[in-house]
Amino acid sequence: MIKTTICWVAGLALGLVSQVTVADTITGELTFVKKASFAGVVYMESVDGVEASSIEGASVDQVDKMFTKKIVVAGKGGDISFRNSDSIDHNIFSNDSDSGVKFDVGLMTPAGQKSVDVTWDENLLVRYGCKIHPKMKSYIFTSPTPYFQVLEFEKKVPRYTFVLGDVPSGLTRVSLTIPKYDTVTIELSVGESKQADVIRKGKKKAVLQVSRAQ
Amino acid sequence: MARIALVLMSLLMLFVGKVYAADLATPSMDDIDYPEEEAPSAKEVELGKTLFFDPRLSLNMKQSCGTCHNPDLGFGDGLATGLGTMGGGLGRNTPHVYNLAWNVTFFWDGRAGSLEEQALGPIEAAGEMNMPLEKLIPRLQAVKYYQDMFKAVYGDGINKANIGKAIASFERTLNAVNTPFDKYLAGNKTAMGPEAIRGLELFKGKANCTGCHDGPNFTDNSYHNIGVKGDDKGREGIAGGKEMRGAFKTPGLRNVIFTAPYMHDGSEGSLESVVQFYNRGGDQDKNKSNLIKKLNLSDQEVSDLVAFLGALTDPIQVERPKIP
Repeated sequence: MIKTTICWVAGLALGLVSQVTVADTITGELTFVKKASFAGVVYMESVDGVEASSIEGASVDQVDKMFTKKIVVAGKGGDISFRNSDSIDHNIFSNDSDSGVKFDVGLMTPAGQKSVDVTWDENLLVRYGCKIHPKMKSYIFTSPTPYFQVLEFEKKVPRYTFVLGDVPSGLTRVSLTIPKYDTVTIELSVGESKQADVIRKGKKKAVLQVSRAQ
Repeated sequence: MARIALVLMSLLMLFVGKVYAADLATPSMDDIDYPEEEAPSAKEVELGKTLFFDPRLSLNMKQSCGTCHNPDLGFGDGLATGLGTMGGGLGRNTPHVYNLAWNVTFFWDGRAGSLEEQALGPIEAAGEMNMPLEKLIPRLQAVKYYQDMFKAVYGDGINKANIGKAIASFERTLNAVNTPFDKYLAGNKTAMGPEAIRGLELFKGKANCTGCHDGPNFTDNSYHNIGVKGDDKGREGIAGGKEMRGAFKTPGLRNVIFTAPYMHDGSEGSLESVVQFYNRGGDQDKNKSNLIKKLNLSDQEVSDLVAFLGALTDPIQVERPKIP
């Protein structure tokens, strides 16, 4: 039942940390204390002064009055393609007070397609939805690097695992972001295993455990 | 070539005519998105209930939330359009508050994004309870019960956010989940009579009610212009877009038998008249949703649909609290 979207985009990472050739694997586990949240992203933080490669191909469809992804990951300066595979109209928009991001793609008729330029900062989770069907919700995350994995949670499933492959050894900080939760960042070297509490409004909601190996 | 075009057109019409509808089901308490990710404490619910029925929440102390959302009147007021505490009329019908725990936007036009936000709206609205929160807070602070309860529940005492949280916590307990329809779904095939069972099939089929009234709470949580006469902008006034003109939120139908009159303007007085409204395809076509079409229902079929709507009934008894 664990539903994850693994994004292997190591090819896009060429030139990310040019002086580093060794690639590591980050594995981990996220365990909620009670009910799981909506969705989250585990990702590697960027390194100062190093330009991150672009993340391409971000896209979301609308099927049966739902977005096909709970979180779509894009890179700053890239774009996101939206499609409407439903037989009814949709209207994707964002007016997210937490991130300050606003956009409105206008009416999308069946089979319609629109795209949005990602002009906002990295490390932002932007909530967006459908103006006509407010139960539809999803998030855009602007990842600073192409090493990430989206975790789509189900309330009754408390435990999730993840793997980030081919991570350059120069990238040492792994983060977890979940809507409305404090972002967790762990400094992690090869051979290390660490864990941290995941906090929402001052309360411990989950435990994040991560390990790094060559 | 013309034949191919005709076939493609037919397929397209078939595609357009079929609208996804979520399964009708019994709402699951596990599916409630509590803002704190867990159910409120009994103490918080009790505080919210007391606030809900306390006329201190209106400027002239004539109205509580429970005046317009009267549990004896299906958490409505029985009026076509509401009445404010100062005696002025409101423009829309008072919505019921059943099963809002699963709802996502609030008010007929969806201008509130949470139940907490919604709860504060009518208190402050000049035409409704007309009570600025900066005046309400000291009024509540003068009452020892509220001082103690807010402190015990929230720690930081009486403030705007906590008033909204408390009322919303109470409202999330007003859930109709054990109707004859739910018992029927659970396997008790005599829980609904044959007319209601026929009505269920019409509801999902010929009458296409599930085009909007789908899912466990019989609402798609969406906005539609269903062809009610009038010039109320509805959702357009909040979200913009001419396609939203005259569109209003689909109300949930659990306990709908108690919540007359119906429609955003209270223009239909009975469930039969509501079904007849849809049977004739609404009363005006301007900007009307393409989901609303003449249904050609027989009198028997109208009656069966009303019987099914009656099977969505699970009376909720609320004992009014002693106001401190």
